[in-house]
Amino acid sequence: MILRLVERRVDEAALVRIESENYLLRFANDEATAFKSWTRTEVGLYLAKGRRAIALFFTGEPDVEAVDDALRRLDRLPEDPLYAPLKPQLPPPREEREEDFEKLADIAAEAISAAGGVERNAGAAQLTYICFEYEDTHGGRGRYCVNRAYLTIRSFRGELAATAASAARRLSELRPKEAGRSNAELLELAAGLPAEDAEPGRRRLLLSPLVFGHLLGEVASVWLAAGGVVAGSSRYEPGDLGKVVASEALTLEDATADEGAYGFTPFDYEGNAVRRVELIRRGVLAGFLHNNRTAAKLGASTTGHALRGWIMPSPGHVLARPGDGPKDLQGLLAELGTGYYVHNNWYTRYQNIKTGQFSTVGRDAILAVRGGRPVAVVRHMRIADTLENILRGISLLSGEAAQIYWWDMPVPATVPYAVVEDVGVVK
Amino acid sequence: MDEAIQKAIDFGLSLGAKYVEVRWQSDEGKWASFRNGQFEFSGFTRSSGFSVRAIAEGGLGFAATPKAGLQDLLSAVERAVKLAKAAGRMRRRPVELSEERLAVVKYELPPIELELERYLAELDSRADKRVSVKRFAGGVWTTEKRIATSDGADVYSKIPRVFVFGVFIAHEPSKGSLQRDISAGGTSVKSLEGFEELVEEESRKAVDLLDKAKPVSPGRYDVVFSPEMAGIFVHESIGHPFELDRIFGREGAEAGESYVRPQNLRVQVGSELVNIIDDPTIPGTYGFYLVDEEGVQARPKWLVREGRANEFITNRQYAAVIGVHSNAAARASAFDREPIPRMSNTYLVPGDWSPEEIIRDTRRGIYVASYTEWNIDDRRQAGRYGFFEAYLIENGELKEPVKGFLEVDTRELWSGVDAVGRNFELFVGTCGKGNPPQGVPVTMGGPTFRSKNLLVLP
Repeated sequence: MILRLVERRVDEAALVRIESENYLLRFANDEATAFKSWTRTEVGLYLAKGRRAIALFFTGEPDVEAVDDALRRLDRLPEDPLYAPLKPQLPPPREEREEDFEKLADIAAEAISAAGGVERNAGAAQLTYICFEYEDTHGGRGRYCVNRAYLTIRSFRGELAATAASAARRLSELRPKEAGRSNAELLELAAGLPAEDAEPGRRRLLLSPLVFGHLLGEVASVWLAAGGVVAGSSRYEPGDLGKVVASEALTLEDATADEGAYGFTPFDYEGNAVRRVELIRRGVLAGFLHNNRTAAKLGASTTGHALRGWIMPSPGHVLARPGDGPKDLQGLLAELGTGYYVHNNWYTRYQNIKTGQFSTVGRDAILAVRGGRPVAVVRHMRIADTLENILRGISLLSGEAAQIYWWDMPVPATVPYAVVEDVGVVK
Repeated sequence: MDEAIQKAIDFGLSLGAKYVEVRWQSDEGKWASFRNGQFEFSGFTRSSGFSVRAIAEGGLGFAATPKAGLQDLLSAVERAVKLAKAAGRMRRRPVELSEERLAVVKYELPPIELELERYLAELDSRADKRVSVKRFAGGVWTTEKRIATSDGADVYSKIPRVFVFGVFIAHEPSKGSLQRDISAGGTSVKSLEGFEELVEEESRKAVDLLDKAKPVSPGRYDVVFSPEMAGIFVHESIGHPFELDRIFGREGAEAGESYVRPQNLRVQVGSELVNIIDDPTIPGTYGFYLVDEEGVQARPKWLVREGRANEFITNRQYAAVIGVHSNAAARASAFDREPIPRMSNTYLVPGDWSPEEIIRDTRRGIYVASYTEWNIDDRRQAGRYGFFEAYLIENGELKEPVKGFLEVDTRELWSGVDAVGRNFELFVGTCGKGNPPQGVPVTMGGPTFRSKNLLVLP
């Protein structure tokens, strides 16, 4: 309807309609604090005329008056330096049935009861059922409906805490027992240990999937999405493709196109199928994430990563291939030898996104490890370094990867544990 | 709409809810961005719909719909009550709300007229040409709310807001790079006064300080902080840990908890010179409102009085937990977000020193004017703040610019305060909290002040 109204007044237009049902059970002190449900109907409208473009977003139905106003504004706007015409390549429609949100309460209860020996638990269990429709003035049409689910549980024992997360495409694939149990095990390991201050300097770190996934999500968001490359805020330039940028141990991909990945998306806001993209292959910069606009600017092809709108591309799910290290925490602590085990982090901030100088605050139980065994719990600790040093310092990856997502992660991830050499540590 | 809202409340009560709250909210406006001298993109956003909160069988349920029809609203009520009952089965103690005299009021502010693309182009033209990356973005929008509760609140408000921000990165391969983020905003275009000049100044400083600032010698210094620093400190180390839901663990898995513990609320956090207020009623400010999302009339909250915790940022639920009245801090960022305790305009109360007197009175110290990177642990004790603009102080005079970090414990920072200025400035920000995340408009600030003997590292 709206497309018919605007098609004679623009060169091209695209309309996306996103209907999502969201259910979130939050808990704290082992009690439900709120059970929430929100329906979102979002309509996005992209209008382009004479290399000028504008985007409109509505919840609910589009407002004809606002569209008229945008069309008038469109004529007055400067030309869009990144304008690229739509060339949709839509996959066949895909439908999934909505999962049963009432199971969220059982999932939360199962995680809480598996965390034996802890004092209290807080967390969240969420189910999102999303239907996305695309239509444009070139005749392109597409639709998909998918489920996404995640669980976070944070367990407390005295002053100590541990977090576990699980993300999946179906509620039955979440691992509540494993999440609760792993928290209990880590807190048991930490409970009898003395506390000590972090020793500032360059240290060998074992990063849990929560931390490693968080940092790789940052790399993908600020450096490997081509919007940053075009703007000059990325560490990388197009000429860096093919250069060594990371340890040979690292192969990093964007796996948004994978059916099993939390965040799985068949096609994007520009009607392009989402492609699996190898970003770093055995340490060598292999690709960027593109939408039509950045691909045209950099002489590349779109990878279908207009995932959050028409303006800039973004990652949807980062995946790092496991390595040949042990699969269990005890084995990995033994491999670490001497250093720190960082179980979780939050509050990542940049001094400068171009150089990737950041610091992030260690959270939950951080363990000082000597002779391959945990010997103390570390009070306050931050990782303060550059993203580049993290990428280049990876020396070992665990033999198994975990699919995770929680509140403070920039992007969902499937990643292993990582041992990283000479990482800057401050209090 | 009035009739629909009343029907919704009655329907919720008939389903067994003890409390029903209906909110219709619309956020509508324009946004645009410029990047490295070029127009980037422009758009329009409208987000609107109903939300319902219900308390039933001891639990709290929340449901939201973007549709405005009566049947859609009633179906949201049904869902909220059903979810409340399900949550109630996972509780040992029922959710209760404090008793309040609830507001019945309408208020609105005049709309903001601003040609956004032209304004951003003007800002872009004012930035120092030597910076290697510059980005400007902004938005002008209006938030309209209609709130009614089963216990009598009936509120309509319409508040326009403007927000603009700029990012500059100075980059010189032999020297590294330096980034500065600045922003401005409020409920009228008056809040943008002076921002063009700030763009000129701060973009120039990014280039100059990259060239001139030298790493500071590690050690303990008496540190004089600007109003901008006062702002980030009060926000991170007082405002957040004084949110009562956080103190009682509700944000434990996400935004974290607090150094203030439920069994010891009236903690000493600083010297007697430290007074900190959160006040949503300051006209023109980005964090302005007069009535919160639960229908409670807003007022200034004295979080810290003479160094001691005095009151907390709370909604009706957590006020009931400690047996006090709500101080109207329940805010929601959009129609489909749950109201939770939030800051508004948080500041250090001015004292009686002039900023120049504080500098003159400092023998060996550092003056920190602004920051780059910062963060704090999830109980809000251990903070780290990177300097953007800072100078050594020797014998009461500002000397060469330095770069470094302040690593400071919250109690150490506020206990060391021995001089508080009489100047005052607020800075805008978007405060994040909640799951799903909610960014709400806030300001933070205060006067210039000094804290003694703090650890500064290169």
